[in-house]
Order: sequence, then C-alpha cells, then structure tokens
Amino acid sequence: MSMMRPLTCAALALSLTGQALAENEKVMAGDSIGKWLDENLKHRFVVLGMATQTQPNYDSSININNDLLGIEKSALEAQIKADFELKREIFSLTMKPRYRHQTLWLEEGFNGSSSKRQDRLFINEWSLDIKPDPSVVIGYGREVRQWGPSLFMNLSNPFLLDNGRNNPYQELGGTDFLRIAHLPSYNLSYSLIANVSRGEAEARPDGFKQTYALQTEYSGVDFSLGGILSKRVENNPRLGLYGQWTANEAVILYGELSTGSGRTGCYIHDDASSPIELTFECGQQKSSKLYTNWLTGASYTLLGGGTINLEYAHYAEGYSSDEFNQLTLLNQSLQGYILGGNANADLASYLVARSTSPGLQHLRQNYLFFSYIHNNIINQVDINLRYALGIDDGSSQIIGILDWYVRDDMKLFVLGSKSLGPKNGEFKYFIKSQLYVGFEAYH
Amino acid sequence: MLNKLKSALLIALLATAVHAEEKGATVTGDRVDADRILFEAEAFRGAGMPGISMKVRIESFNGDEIDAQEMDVNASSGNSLIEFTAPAKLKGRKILMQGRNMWFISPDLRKPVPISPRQRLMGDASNGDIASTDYASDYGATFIRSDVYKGEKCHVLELKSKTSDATYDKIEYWISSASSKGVKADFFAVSGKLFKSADFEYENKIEFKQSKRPFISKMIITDGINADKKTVIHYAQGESKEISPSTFDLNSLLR
Repeated sequence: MSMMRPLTCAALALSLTGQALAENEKVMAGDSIGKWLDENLKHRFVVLGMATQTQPNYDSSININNDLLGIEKSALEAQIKADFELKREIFSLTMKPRYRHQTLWLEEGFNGSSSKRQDRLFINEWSLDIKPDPSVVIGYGREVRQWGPSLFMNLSNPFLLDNGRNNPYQELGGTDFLRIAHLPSYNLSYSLIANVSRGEAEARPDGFKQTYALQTEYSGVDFSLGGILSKRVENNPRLGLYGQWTANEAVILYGELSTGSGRTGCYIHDDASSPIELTFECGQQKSSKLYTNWLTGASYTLLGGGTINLEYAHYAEGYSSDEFNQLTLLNQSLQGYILGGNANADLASYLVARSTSPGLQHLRQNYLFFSYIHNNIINQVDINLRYALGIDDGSSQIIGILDWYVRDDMKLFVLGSKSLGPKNGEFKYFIKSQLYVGFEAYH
Repeated sequence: MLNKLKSALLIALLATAVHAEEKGATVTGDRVDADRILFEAEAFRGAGMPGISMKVRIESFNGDEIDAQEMDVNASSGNSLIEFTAPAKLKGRKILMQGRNMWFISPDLRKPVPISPRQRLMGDASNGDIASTDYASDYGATFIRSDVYKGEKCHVLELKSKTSDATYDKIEYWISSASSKGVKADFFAVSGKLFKSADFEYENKIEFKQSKRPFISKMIITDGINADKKTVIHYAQGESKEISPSTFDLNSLLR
C-alpha cells in the first residue's frame, strides 16, 4: 500500500498534468486558430430593413388598372448579408451567404392580408482562387462579374444584362464562372472565362446557355483598355471593347461597344400556326447583319466635390419604333385574351411573360443618360441622381438616392424613382413611381 | 463617403514611391545633389523597395470633431490597393490605382467606378496622398537653401511639377542634412497659395536587403488656410515584399 499510494499519486499527478497540458494545448491551439483567423479572415455583416411603395402605371394600355400583371404596391423586406474572405498565400476563399425575407401586398399600405411572403437563405456569391504562380490565377465560383467605365449600361458584358446601378439595395444574383487568368505584368492581363451555370442570376427568356470568353485588359499611365471575345452556345460570337482615358485631373472620357452578327432577345414574328398569328421568338436571330451596340461618355469632377457623368448609348439590339408599336398592340390583344378568359389565355400569358422580360438590356435603341454623384457631404451624406431619357419614345426616368450615415455603423436611405413621358413609353411601361425607405446597419 | 475614402488615397500612393528610379544619378551639377537628396529621402517612405504592404490609420481633426479610418495598403510598381477595414460603414470598400487610373470598388455597387485624380483631393484627409506622391517621378528637384527646422539642419528642395498632371504645382521639401529624411513639406497650388503643410516622423523599422531601416510612422498634415483642420496618418506593420500583379487585378477585386 505504501508503494501504491505514491504511484497512484504520481499517476494522478501525471494524469492531471497531462489533462492540464492537453487543456493548455487546446487553449493554445484555440488561440493560434483565433490568431490565424484574425490575420487572414476578413468579414462584413450588414442588416438591411426596407419598405417599398410602388405606383403601377394604371393608364398603360397593356396593364390597365394593373389587372393583368398584378404588380404589388407595398413591400417590406429584411436582409442579413455576410461577406467572408479568407486569404492565405496562394489561395483565397470568399463566401457571401444571404437571408432575405419579403412580404408583399397588392394594395397600398402594410395592413391587410399579404399577397406573398418569401423567405430565402442562400449563397449569392462564393469563389475559390488559387495562384499556382504569382502571374496566374485559377478561380471558380459564383460571382457578379462586371467591368467597364459606363454607369448606364454594360454593353460589352456578355454574361449579365443588368449592371445593378439603378437600385444598389437590390443585389444582383451571382452566376457560376471558371476563370483562368494570366498576368504577365502589372498592367496586362489575359483571362479565359467560362460561364458554366446560371446560379442565382435572373433567367433569360431563351434559358441559360454556357458562354465562353477570352478577355484582355491593359492599363497605361492615364488610360485603360479592355476587350472580350465571347461565344454563347448556339449563338454567334461577339466582340466587346471598353476603355477610358483620364484626360486631366477632373475629366475622364470613356466608351464601350459590343458587335456581332445577329441580335439576341425576344422579337415578334408572324406565325400562322399561332391562334393569334403572332409569336415571340426568343434567342439569337440568325442573321448575317451586324448589330453594334455602343456607348460614349464623360465624367467631370467639380471643385466642390460632385461628379457629373453624361452618356449616350446606341443599343442596336433594341426594338425599332415599328417593333415597339407592334409589341404594344400585341400586348393589348393578349391582355384581352387573358382577362376575357379566352381559350388562348394560357398562350397569351406565356407571351406576356416573354414580352415583359424580353432578355434585352433596354427595350429601345437610343438613350441619353445623366448622373450626379456627390459623396461625403458634411461628412455624413451621399447623394446620387440618375436621369435616363429614351430618345426614341420620349419617355424618361429619374432616380434619386440619398444615404445618410447617422453613425459609423448605420445609415438611413431613401430611393425614389419617377417615370415620365408618354403612357406607353418604355420607362412608363408598367411603373410610374417607386419609393424605397430603409436602413442598413454594419458590423 | 467616397471623398472620405479618397482621403485615404494618400497612403496608397506609397505605391508610387516604391519604385521611384534613381534619376539623379545621370544628371550633373546642382541637380545631381538635389535629385540624390530627394531619392535618399524617398527611400524612408519606401522608394527602391519591390513592394510594400502596411496598415494605415487616418485621423482627421476639425476643431473638436475627430474622424478615423483604417485600411490595409499594398503598393508596388506604381500600383496601389487600399482596402478599408474600419469604420464598419467603410468595410469592404477598395480603391485601386494604376498610374493615374483609379477605381472605386464598393461591395454595394458591384461594378467598379472610375474616379478622377481630382476626386482624391477632396476632403481633409485626402491631403494625405501628398505623402505618397512619387515626387521623383512627377517633380523636378532644385536645391534652394539651407534651413533649420525643429533644431535640425535641413536642405530645402523646391520640387516643380514636370507635367500639368501633377497633383501640386510646387512643393518645398525640408530634408534633414544629418539623417537624409524628409521632415517637412509645404504644398502649393497653381495660384501660389500654400495648400497644405506636412511633418513626417520615422519611428517604424522596416526590413529591407537583410537590414532594418527607419520607415515612416506618421505624417501630420495641417490645412494651409484653417489651422484647426489637421490630418494625422499613422503607418504600421510595414513590410517590404514582392506583391504579385494579381493583387491589382480589377477583375479579382470585385469579389
């Protein structure tokens, strides 16, 4: 017994020491993981709350009294957005999970029974990049891939139709890319890009089709140029070019274009087999005719701090006046079929869906765009005014965005849009005005 | 907000200093001394290094009001990338500069916005970019006099802009005769008016070519008109290293 006690004590001591060491190792391991994450993980959290009021265009001859489309007039929305970026030597991982709740009402106000409630938890964007060599990046993931200097349209982008600038509070959905980039120097890059699946991006009327592209960018002392040659499956190849020149300390001149044979979208065609003798054909029209979309613009920074942008865009793939008038007439007919309970109501509904989302960046061909951005006014306020004029039909849209940073971790915002011009003009096609009021809190 | 961010541009501009070339070596006469003195002074702000990465904190004082921003900065070969880390409202925002081309990238916008050089001059803290302007590239140096500043004997150089694109028409730069460090600068607008003044401190050490050398730790900028307006830029964790071109790849920054 006398020997046993010391052995037991020793064993107990060893055991306790071992446990203590293990605990200590765990703490140290925990500390080192914490330190490692602290050094390599960047994160950003945003909570957004927003109320929206929408005034449909009741006079529109294609959606009289909002009977056809049933556009919701009131909405409440909450979003929780998290951005994570883990970067370490040759690899980086980004992850942007989102939670979104929406409650929508057909009538004005936020009382009564809602017409729709939606809750979604999803990964809007993520990517994994590996750099096997300092001049090579191989990446795969779901991204909102945008470039080019223009504010109004992103004409050279074969992957996305919307540049998201009209409403920064509605995130664009990411789409899935594989990218292999070679950067032989600091001012030159070549990228092979494959858009392999739709991901969270908005569906196009002719469905998702894989798109492959070769993109190159060059940056000089006071200018930058880019080009992208792309091929969407079953479509003809298109060439996109974009560039900007810092002309002096206050002025930037820029331009963008895309060109290729055939145009892509939904276009009206005679169709004797259709009960209404017309149909929409969605996709690329097979044609040898060259359609060149182009945009030119300039920005000027005032001494007071605000920046003015002026752009002109020619969108050759948009509808001509005849096509647009035909579209309006067709929509009026379809409305009659649907609301009248015609036997062809289902077909009419299908066509209306196509006509309201025809896969075009804009419906018409010629636009003027003006923007005024002034940030950090009295250290707290950002304002952004945007005005787009459709030259072909005289309709226009004005958007005002005001952000007021009430604290270092919170802002209040108001976004108002108003459409002007003829009742069936593009910008007034469905909506007369919208108002968004909300807050964003950051961590 | 952007203007505030621009303030930060200041630092990024170390980028430009990083690869300043030893131009003075081939010139003769007084110019040789002036350019060499300038280049040696620039070395304490990163000139001659392959690239620099560091953390920067900017404090803007306007009377009793204090505004602070923090950011990570990477700079190499005339390129610089600023990534805001604080306050929370600025987190995730980035400014990329390649030569005179600049882009503002916000997690809310999803599309890079080109910004003009004038935009970086807005706001108080934006004066900080003065600190990192590549004087050797944009300005020609002339020795104008000797002076004593804060008890230190100094060479005073006049730096005149070589092109109309330079940020300032003229800079007067006090460089300590003993330490070769730039200790003070006055910045003048085209009108000849004093725009800003800056004092420099070098409490940091940075490892370069297997030795530790002093490195800029603080820049204190005072408004030329309103002395109550002051901006203090703190530089920390400076590291001299190669920075890969992909760091400045606009397409990779959109994530």
